[in-house]
Amino acid sequence: MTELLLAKETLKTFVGRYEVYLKPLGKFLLALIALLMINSSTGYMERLNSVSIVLIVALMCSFLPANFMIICGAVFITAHFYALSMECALVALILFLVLALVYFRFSPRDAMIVLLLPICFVLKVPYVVSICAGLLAGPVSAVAVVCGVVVYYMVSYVTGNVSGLSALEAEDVAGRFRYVVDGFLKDKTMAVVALAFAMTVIIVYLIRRLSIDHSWTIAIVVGTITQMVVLLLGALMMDTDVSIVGIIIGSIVSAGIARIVEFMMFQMDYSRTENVQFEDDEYYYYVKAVPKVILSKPEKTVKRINPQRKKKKNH
Amino acid sequence: MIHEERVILMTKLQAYEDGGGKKDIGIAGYFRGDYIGSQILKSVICMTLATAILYGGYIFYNLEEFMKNLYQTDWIAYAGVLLKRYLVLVIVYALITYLVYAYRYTKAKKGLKKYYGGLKELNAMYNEES
Repeated sequence: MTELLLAKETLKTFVGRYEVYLKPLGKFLLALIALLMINSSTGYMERLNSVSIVLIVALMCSFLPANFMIICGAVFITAHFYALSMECALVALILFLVLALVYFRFSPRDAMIVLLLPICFVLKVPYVVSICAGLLAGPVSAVAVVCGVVVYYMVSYVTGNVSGLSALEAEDVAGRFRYVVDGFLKDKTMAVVALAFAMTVIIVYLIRRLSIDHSWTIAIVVGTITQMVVLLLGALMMDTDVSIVGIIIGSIVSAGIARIVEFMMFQMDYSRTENVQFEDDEYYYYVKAVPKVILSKPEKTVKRINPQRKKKKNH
Repeated sequence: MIHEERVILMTKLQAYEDGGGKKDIGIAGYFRGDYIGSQILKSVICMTLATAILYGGYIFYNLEEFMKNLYQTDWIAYAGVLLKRYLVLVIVYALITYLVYAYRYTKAKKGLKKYYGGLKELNAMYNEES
């Protein structure tokens, strides 16, 4: 434990010192991974598959606001779909526009969940996103999680049904459009996964807000179990296309990752490091303020005092 | 000489300003009614666009059926049904917008009150020194 705490302190100092470089680097890597994954799973437009284009866009994402990354991801997916068929691109465009207009107008920060969720789906640990959304964001982010699930299943449906799509006549534009919409909206697996993830976000949020010791850890455990149970029940009742072993292993790994996230975000609190600049009449100040780790204990209120009982003496 | 307490206070104030503070200042620049009203107006525009896109997609999805029943369908009655659904969506969305932005306005006002309190304290520190 001492070594772990020491490592935590070292990491805290390191992140605090190099935060200026680490933030853009993290954004660059995230954008690079997301775009490479989009290219590898879709990749119908050859021009976008070029490494130089991906690198340039990822580099732009590193110093532009985080939401630019999401716009780039949406543009890449739509462009790839356009190269495959105009109808697929139309479905993707409608989905992205409606999401942007209706939900992300309220909470643009949650848009990052829509980008992270498909990445975690590819890495076989999508369950971590719903748990972390409950830990770090609010219950409303359940909507963003559902949006992420819909985007992932839309992409995976199109990429998995290219042959079926090309079998339809090219002139039957409306028929092809219907084929894509029907395919992914009537997917039972998507409905079950969306329900499980939304429930997990809300349950994790409610538990971690409770004024009890280890609320974050309890929230992770309960959230993971709820998610597993809903997914397994869904698999049994609705005969969905999911691997039961995959759900169990993925959930356990996700719980482990969520525990690491808890360790980083809750205990270390380095995410609140502030780099501020200001001046007064005499000086220019360049201050880096790193908040201390304060673990708040739940307040105990004394409601009743029991009278002390005298021990009976045995003679 | 650097005044330690003053630096701490200034850091806190600047951190607030760099974080949500600038937004809060922007929000508090409006009257409550004007701010919420403008947000509801934006929401109505966004919802109108989103509904238009969805209806467009729906018409495209059922294009064959529409073409088949082109002369049999009572288009005015059908447009009325679509209009009713649109109105329900807009009203619900506007209501959610009202709740969200009323909460944000109150939160911004509270944050700014604290910020201005800090500024007053800072001013008092400077006056004490001089």
